[in-house]
Amino acid sequence: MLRDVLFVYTLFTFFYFVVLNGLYLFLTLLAWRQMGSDVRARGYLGLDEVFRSPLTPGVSVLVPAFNEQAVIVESVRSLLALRYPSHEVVVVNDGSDDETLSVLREAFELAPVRKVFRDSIATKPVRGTYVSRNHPNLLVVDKENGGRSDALNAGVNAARHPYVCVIDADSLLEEDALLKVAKPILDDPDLLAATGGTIRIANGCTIDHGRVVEVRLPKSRFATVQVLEYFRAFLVARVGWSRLNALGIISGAFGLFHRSLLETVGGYWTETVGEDFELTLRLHRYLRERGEPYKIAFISDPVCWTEVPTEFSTLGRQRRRWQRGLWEALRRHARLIGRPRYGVLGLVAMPYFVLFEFLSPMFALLGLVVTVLWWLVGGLSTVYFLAFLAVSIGLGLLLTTAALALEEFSYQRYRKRREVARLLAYAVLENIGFRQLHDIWRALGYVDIARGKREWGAQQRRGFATTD
Amino acid sequence: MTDGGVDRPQPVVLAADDDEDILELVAFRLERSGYTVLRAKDGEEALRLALEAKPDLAVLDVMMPKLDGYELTRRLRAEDATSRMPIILLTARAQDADVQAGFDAGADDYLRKPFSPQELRARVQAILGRR
Amino acid sequence: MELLGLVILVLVAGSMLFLLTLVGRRSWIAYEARRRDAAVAALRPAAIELIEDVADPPALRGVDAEVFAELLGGYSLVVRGASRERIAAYFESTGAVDEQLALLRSRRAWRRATAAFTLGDMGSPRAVPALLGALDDKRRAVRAAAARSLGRIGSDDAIEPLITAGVERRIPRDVVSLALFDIGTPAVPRLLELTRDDEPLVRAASVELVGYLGNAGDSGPLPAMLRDTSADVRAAAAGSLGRLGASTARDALIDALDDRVPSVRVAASRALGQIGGRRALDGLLRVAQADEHEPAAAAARAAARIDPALVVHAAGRADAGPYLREAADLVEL
Repeated sequence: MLRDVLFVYTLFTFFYFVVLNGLYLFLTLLAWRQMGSDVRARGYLGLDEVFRSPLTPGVSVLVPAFNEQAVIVESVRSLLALRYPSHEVVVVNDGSDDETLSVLREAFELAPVRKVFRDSIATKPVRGTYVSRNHPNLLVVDKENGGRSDALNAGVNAARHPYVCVIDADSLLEEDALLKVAKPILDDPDLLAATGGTIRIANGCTIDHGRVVEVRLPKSRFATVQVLEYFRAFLVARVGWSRLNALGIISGAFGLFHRSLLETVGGYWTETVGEDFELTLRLHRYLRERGEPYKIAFISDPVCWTEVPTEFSTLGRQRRRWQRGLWEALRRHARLIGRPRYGVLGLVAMPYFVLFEFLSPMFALLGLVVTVLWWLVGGLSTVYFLAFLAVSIGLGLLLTTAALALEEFSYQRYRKRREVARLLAYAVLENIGFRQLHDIWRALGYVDIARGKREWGAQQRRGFATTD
Repeated sequence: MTDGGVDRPQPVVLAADDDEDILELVAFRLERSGYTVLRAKDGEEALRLALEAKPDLAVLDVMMPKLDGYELTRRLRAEDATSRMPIILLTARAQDADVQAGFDAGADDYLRKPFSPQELRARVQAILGRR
Repeated sequence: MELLGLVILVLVAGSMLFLLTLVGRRSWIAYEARRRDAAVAALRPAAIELIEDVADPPALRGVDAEVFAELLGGYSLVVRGASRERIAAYFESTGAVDEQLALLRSRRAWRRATAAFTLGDMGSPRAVPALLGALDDKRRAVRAAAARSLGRIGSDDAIEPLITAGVERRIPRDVVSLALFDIGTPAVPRLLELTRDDEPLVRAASVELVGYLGNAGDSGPLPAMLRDTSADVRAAAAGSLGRLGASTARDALIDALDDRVPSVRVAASRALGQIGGRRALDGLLRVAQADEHEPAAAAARAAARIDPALVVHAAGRADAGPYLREAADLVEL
């Protein structure tokens, strides 16, 4: 009896992986088609026109900052230098207990101003607001600590322009990134509700005065594996889902929204660590229920460079936190799961998030343990076992290689060929160790959820490596 | 340039733009009109050249790496050696707020891209002719 | 299972091979890039000499011809006037314009769009009829590229079709607006006529553009539009009156400070800030102290533009309200 159960479970695990990877393959095909037309569209994009036009609406770039003294000045400088006709940078100091506010004050000659906020979204109290003497389009909001969502909501209240772009404090946007992520919305503001851009990994890159001047792979093994993860997540998954108009997440590290829409849906939810995912689902829900056609799109061309965790403990905390965020958002919007009313998002994306994102650590780890045990007690032939490994690893490898090929085809950011070789090697090695470690972290996330854990945990900030 | 038989040194103009095509076009235009042109590819290089060579006029792009045109103008105004050096901003940043920011930073003139090379020369001549 | 394993392995091997070919492609791309960079450096002086009318362009072929064309295409975006005309003449003489006109009839939409866009870079007026035709292309991207190029070339014949296409939403409004903006003052008379159109969106868009393209003399019909039935039109008219600096409209704008729609009050405040005048100050101060967020903030700022000292003084009073205090702080910066 037990043998049968275990056998069925092994088979189930196998099919689980085939379905998951089949879905990913489908997304990969969609992504290839999209990339093909994106590459061709470069010849007539018309970004220059957006930049030149006095009628182009302004964008308020919101930067929530908590204890970011190491990176905030460089990050703000790069944001102020963005190529966009009219934008402002709103830094929200979320009650940092380090020198974040002081370094800003010194670097930008801040002067206090009694700015009046819109009271659209309730937030923790604001302690003060400052404008830069040299950069009139920089606004610094100093408030009591309330978390990232709360800081962003304060930013929305303070924002001057009709659009807001949400950025992380430790990120660097490329010069044209704001133009590129805004263009689709500006062309069709009634249809496009929000757009998101690509996040790329800055670890290992040479950064000079807030610009990435040379793209290199990180030295850290953890960071290099994440390069592959981010390729799969951004260049394949999001491009694919976006094409189906089922994009479940506009990353909080690089997203553009109509300010009025954010105000209407009540801003970010402060009771979650997955606030970007939850907001995107809430937007979908609101827009679907409103009944008019809409789109939430991912644009792969605009790039935001960000630092990723390289230490075991910090990375682990991040993945556990993501798992919690996933749970919190899915629970809040459970009614979308499987409902045709919510289109491809409800029918396909939501079940995908539940089965293949949230529950996958459980299936993966259990499946691995069961299969290995089964093989050890002789229930599985070695050939069968090897074939099983070949399939599960092979499928993953296929997808990663496809993602790398997509990057090669459209962007070729990594100049050195030996770096591509290194990435390929990691694509194989990833399956032996990192994948399992990642699943363990996410399984620990279940424990956190069960325990009712709430806070963010400490971040790791070393500052950008600058050549001066 | 001669003046009553005495050779005056050619006025020196500093041109700064991170786009090499534009930099060379501006330099060519001005050299053709009898100026000596110093070239800079970014704001820091421009600042260094300006303080070293103390040119008679500067034509600066705004959107440059390392130090943008506005900040560069402010710094030049803050230094005794260059505080009265005429500065023309030549830039694609063309909104009213940008023009205002340019004059607030201390620029003497603001020329939007797309620009006419003839007009640039005319403005340079107008400013330097007054001196 | 074993078969599946084999299949997967084959697929993996295949995809790795594909990836490696793409990487191999890099050597070719890098080689091409180096050649092009060398060609750019060598040909740039010739391009500048053409633009500056110093020398005739050299006879070129192959990669050199392409690079030269790209250089000139780039220059056509940053220069105006006679320089730009010389660039257009070059493209005509090498047959490049004809080439693009042929591509404009391609069956692939992206080729048509790229051709439509490139014709704008080239700047030859001969492309106008074909581009006007492309405004009716079945693909949006092609229509948008054609609109942009008609603006860049500066064709008066395009004014009417562009406005119609924008109104009918066949071309994104931001693209149409900039194309009209590029065409400039010749578009003003037609735009002024359209301010009397039946569609409120047409009236609003037209009057907004008049504010950017016209001058104070064109502002005649605008004050009456401050009493239009549509709030969008009233706000756009106010904005344009400010931009045109039409001081004769001051009283009408002061009346508009009492409009029932906040966005109109905002626009009227801004316009009065640009036009100035002591009479405007009373109304602005009132709005700054009593109105809701957006109009009050705009009015406070506008008042500070007209008379900063007065605003600083008024902000000191107990009943000043937060908006005047904010504006005063900004003045003192």
